[in-house]
Amino acid sequence: MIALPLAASMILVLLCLGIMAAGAARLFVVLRGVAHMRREGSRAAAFDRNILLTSDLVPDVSILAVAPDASENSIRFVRQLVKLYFGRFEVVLVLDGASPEERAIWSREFHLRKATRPESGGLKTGAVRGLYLSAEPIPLLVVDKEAGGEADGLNAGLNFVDSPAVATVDWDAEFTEDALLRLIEPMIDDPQNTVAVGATAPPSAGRGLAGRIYRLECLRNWLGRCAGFSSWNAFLPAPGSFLLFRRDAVAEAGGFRSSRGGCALEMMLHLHGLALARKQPYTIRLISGAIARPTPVTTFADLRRRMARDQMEVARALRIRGRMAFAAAKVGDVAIPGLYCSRLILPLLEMAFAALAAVAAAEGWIDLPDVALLAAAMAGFGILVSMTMVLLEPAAPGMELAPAQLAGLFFCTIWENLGYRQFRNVRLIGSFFRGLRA
Amino acid sequence: MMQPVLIPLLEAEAVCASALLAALAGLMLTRTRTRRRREQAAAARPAIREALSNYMGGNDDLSRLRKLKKAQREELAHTLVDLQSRVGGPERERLVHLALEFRFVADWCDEAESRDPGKRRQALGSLAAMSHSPMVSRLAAEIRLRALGDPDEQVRIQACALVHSENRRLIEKGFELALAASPLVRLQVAPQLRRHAEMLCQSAVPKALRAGKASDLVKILKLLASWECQLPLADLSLLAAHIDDSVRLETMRLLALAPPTVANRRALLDGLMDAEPRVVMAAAISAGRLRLPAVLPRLTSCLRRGHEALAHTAAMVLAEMPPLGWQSLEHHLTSSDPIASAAARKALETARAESMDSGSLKEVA
Repeated sequence: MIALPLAASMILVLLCLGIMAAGAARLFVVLRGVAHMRREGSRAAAFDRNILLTSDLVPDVSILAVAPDASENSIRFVRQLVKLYFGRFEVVLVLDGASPEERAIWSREFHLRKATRPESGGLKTGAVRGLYLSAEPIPLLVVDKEAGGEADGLNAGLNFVDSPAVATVDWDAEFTEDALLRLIEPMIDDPQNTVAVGATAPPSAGRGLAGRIYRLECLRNWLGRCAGFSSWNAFLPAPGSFLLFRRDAVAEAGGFRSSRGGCALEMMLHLHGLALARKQPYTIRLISGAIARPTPVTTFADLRRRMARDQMEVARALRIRGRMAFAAAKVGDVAIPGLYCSRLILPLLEMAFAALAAVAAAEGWIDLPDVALLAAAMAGFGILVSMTMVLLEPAAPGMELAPAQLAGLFFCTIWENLGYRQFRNVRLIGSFFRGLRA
Repeated sequence: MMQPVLIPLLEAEAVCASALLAALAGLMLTRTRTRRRREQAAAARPAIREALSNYMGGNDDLSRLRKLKKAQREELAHTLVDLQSRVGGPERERLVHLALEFRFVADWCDEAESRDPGKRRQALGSLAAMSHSPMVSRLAAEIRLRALGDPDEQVRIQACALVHSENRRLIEKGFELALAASPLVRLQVAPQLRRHAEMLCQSAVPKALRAGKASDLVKILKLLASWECQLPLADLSLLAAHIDDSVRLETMRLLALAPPTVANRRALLDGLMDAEPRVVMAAAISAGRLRLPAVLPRLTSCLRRGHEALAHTAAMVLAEMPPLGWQSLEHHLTSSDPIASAAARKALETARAESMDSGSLKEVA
């Protein structure tokens, strides 16, 4: 029988090796992501995009948005959407179970008038209470419906549009005025094979430690989940994404899946699955450059909220689409295992390591210096991976970071790996299981 | 026990960290330099603009511009290209002369042959911007033709922008390239080719329209329709009778831009009787644009085909053709066909509301 101290030492070393291997794998994906972004950036054509405003060859776009509330921020967000610089588009704002007071606010703000429009889609949704058009010269259709969740709201909006392309934007995102013009290009270029297009980037450099840490988290998502997976044509959206889907593909997928909040990730996995099942060539493209990105955070409370939201969305998407693992080309071989690994297994391993190291040191199974050295080696490796990622960011096209901000982020990786990461792991695991249950 | 393994590992990590620190320092330095260079260029811009304005105004003293060229060559070239697209006449010619004098054009011609696609793009872009000048056009003629076959799509687009000239061979080559290119490139090239529509319709377009593949024909027809100008294509009847629905659909759209010859009118009338509703709708819209009275009976028959979208389109077209179109719609108000009567009612209501609006506007005026 193996003695307890020896077993503990072996487990600790194995855990440490596992964590380091995961870090190395992440770095590999990130490197592929950067190379992919550079390729995409050099491929992107620089031309007068005003041509796209008038051409008949550009498809109409409907932007679907489910209002979370009638707050000033939400109203400002919708104002931004209707001001997008694009030829033929409309914003379909869904009021999901809005109270009469909230409806009155929207109505007052956008001068809504009762309207009628035939329901062209056949998706099952909560009952629609009414349709409204804005009396202002803006392309806004408001769908007022019974409460049913974000996915239900998106499906309700989808039922009232007949444009060939539909877009969704994260409510925590900021985006450029020409975002749609950039997103539509791959759809014009390859209308048969392009199923969806996404754009996202890390947030602008936030102030304080929370802002920097959030930027590091987003950087990891952007270079890994978005760009890295995109190099295998397995793009998955991250928080702050602006996404454009082919409407027929979304309709074929049966619309968005009913769940509370965030359904873009699940939809993207579903679209990958459907396209692969058809065994026909398809692409889901990521647009390089800072077209859309999450708004920066300033407080740790905000950071925790955003992280929990993303984690729950990942968990829900994996609960529904997890069976695609190892059964759906690179999405199944790389993207889904990658998500499981980064969002569940790695935090669990790190927590297990910390717990076991503490017990082993307390019980005297392993010398304290050995435990300390092992922990330092692991944390050091994590810091190196994060630092490399920060240094790789400027290699991606369109990313402009002032030298001081770059240095700030670089050194922030030390604090991130020594303290924040351990608390984050506990929360990530909690949010993951909450997401699975939701 | 683990120290012999862990200490070298930590040392290796420390070495890596030092290398990353050095990389950070290098990156910060490069960024700072780039930023400074940009700031200097931005600071020099007003002086460059002023010097160029003086030169355009007739001041032949080049000493100041030479100094600026020495300090900010790239910015001067960039501003010159930018400025010449905003002016015309003798001022523009003087700027071209300056670009030749300062060897900017010669450098762009050299860079257009560079192995770096980025440099080729920029050089071709600058040459394209100056191609209105016969001198630059002559110098860049061969480069253009070569660039049309460049492996980089963006370079090919820039080369197409050189289709400013009246060189028939180049324009036809540009048209061929547009047809072979991706839809996005075609979309960008289309407005440049539009101004040569008449010339292209003499030989290049009829030759392309003889292509056998339906998908190629659709591409050509879409490109022609996107020009939105009168096209001297006297007989589109063969395409209007094509076996492929998409070709017939695009032909119907194009008929609105073609002259109403006997063959084209017959093609449009046949289109209104097509089995495919999308083709009929396109034909109805084209007929509405051409305002041909001969199509009224067939348009009216479209109301009764039991197809909601088709009835709606036909009704809207009839509503735009008063008084005969309105009379046809009024007949259908009491029709037993619910689709026809609903379409007629809606179209008439919209048309009457619009006519009242325009009437009241006239009164106000």
